Amino acid sequence: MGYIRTANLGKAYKRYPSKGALLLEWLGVRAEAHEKRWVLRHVDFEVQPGESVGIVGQNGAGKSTLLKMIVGTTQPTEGSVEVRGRVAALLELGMGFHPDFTGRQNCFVAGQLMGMSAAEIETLLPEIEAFAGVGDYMGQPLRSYSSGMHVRLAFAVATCRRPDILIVDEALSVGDLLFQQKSFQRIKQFCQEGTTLLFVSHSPSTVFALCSRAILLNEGGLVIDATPREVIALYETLMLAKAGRVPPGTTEGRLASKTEKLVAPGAAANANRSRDSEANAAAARSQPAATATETNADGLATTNDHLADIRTEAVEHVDVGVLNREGRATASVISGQEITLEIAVRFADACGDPHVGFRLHNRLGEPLFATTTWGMGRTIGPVAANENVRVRFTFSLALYPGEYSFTVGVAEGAMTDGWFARDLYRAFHVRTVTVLQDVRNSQWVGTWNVDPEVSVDRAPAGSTRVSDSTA
Amino acid sequence: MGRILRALWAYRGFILASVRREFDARYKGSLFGGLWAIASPLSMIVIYAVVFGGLMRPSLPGHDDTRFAFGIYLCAGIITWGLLSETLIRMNNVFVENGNLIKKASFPRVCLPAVVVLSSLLNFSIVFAVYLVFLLVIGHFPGWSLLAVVPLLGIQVLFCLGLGVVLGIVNVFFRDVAQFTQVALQFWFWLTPIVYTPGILPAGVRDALPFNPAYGLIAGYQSIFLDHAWPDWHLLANAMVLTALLLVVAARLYVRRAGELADEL
Repeated sequence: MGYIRTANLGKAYKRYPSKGALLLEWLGVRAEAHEKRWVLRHVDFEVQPGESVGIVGQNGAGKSTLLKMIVGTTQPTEGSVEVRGRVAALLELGMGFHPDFTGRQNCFVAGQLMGMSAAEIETLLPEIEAFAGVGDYMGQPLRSYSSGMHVRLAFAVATCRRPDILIVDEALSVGDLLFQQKSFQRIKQFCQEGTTLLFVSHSPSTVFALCSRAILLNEGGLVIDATPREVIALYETLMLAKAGRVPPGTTEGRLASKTEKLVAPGAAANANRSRDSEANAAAARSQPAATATETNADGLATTNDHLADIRTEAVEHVDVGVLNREGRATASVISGQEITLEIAVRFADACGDPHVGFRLHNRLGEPLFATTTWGMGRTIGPVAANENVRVRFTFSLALYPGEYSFTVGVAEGAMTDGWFARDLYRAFHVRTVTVLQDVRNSQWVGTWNVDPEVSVDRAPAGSTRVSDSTA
Repeated sequence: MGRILRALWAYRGFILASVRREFDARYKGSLFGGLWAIASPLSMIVIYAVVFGGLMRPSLPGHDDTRFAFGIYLCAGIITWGLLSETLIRMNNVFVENGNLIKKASFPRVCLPAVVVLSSLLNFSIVFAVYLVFLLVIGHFPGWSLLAVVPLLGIQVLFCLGLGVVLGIVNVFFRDVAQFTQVALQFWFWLTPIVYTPGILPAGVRDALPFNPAYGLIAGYQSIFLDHAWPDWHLLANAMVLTALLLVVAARLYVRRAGELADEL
């Protein structure tokens, strides 16, 4: 039921030089006395019933404006939003709450503001009380509540019945740890029961955990609509570029072609988009073999993975190999077996303090582990132009069977916090490896095999102590 | 128009509950609660009755035999004017005061003026009830002509709703409107025969009275309560035409600007 579609959606706030100009426009003396400041433009996407879509982007990228237009609190300036199904929005918790009324009375206020009838709220009240867990405070005025109780009650009311579309703006980080888990569980359960989720977050791990798809907004434009893995990678690179940690000109070309839609006229937006994807495909074909992603069986790695890659002129060429114990390239490894990740870098320019690192991702693209030569306490030392450096990381992949991928990077100028002054090269999901089950090993579930040793002590019947050694 | 009415109906629970809560909130935490709602109008009526019925004794032409005649006349005007001015002043700020709610929650905005109108009516009905008891006690209860209050109030409420929504929306964009309304209401009050009778006005001003939409309404209440007579419906024609006009303007302005409210608040 919960379906969302936006078509060429845009929002501009009107800016008047003065109140007088506004008056002149109202009176029809001047047709357009204002200047439009676009905060979001040419946004096209579609969310099918039951999908969970994460929206990521920097502050001011237009995420909240997009949600507000979908919820209906603000009107689009151009384009349209189509929303089918009942919407519940967790944009702001506790709207309509009054401090002098009791928790129970406030449940009615908030519920009625959501369009529910008093009878409906009455029947749901026991459940709200139980979920909020504020105990006999339900009958006390809201001003005697702690801030935690306040948000717990607000969350409980806002989610007291399953909506067709749930819109969440980082409201998950409310209450104590236990309540956070509880609210997270509730959202997850809604999704399983068929609720369409639209979710704004700055936290990649939440996006990986909840969303099957993600959208990256940047400077008011939709940059990419893809899997969380592709989107989070691009988001990360975008942040690096914004922080000036990537030399100018490395990613802008690729990102600009996506983001310039903001200034492109509306009619050209769709044309732009299709041209973009053609360009992407062409770029993917022309990539050197080392950076082209291998598309695995379930098609998780796509050509969009390379969008987030970082290239600079300082690094001419990087070769990445996953080698087994015999030193041969491999695409699969048995859980617990040792492999070597070999990264061969050819520097085009001399470099004072280069470092090489890698990151291990699960099949969703969520990072599981990352380190660098700096992190391992090794220094490569100054390299000359055209010098080749080969770095090997050897480790055992004691992971749960499944698909994993490696991202590799080269950076310069280690700083004390483990970050680098400049990123010279980065290739996302450049190698994929399949971890196979070790049939001879123990049965276990989880993320990685901690390989426990087990011992069992049995005490004779009647003995009070399990073991003498505990004395 | 139909959409607005349907939205109001769908959110009737919210509107009624908001009116109730607003009333409750006013007396929350006080010992005597709703009794205070009666105390203020009661004291007003008693003071007017004592001052103008016992001390000053201003005479009303044709009512020299009626005790408290001026008090009855004054209260009939002041109480109903109170409803008009309370509604209009609160309507000015209805969108501004609920700015946070408008920006954060999605609901038909038209609920807010509806809450203001109903809650002003609720306050009025308490004052009005006290006034009726006073009339009963002094033996001047109007009888059947009291029924004419219903259409008069109907016109007045619709007039305030139309004008109020216009003022409320414009005030979001130009905050001068609320200030202006305060000033205008002062002049309007004294330009309406409430504390004086139309007879004392110079002829030129008196001829202009029918153009004051409040005049027909207030004169209607005064004739019901003092003369026990039906209102002069001819005097109301202007108010009715103006009300219809204002409602149309308000509805159009609402449809055009309701979406912009959230951006401007």
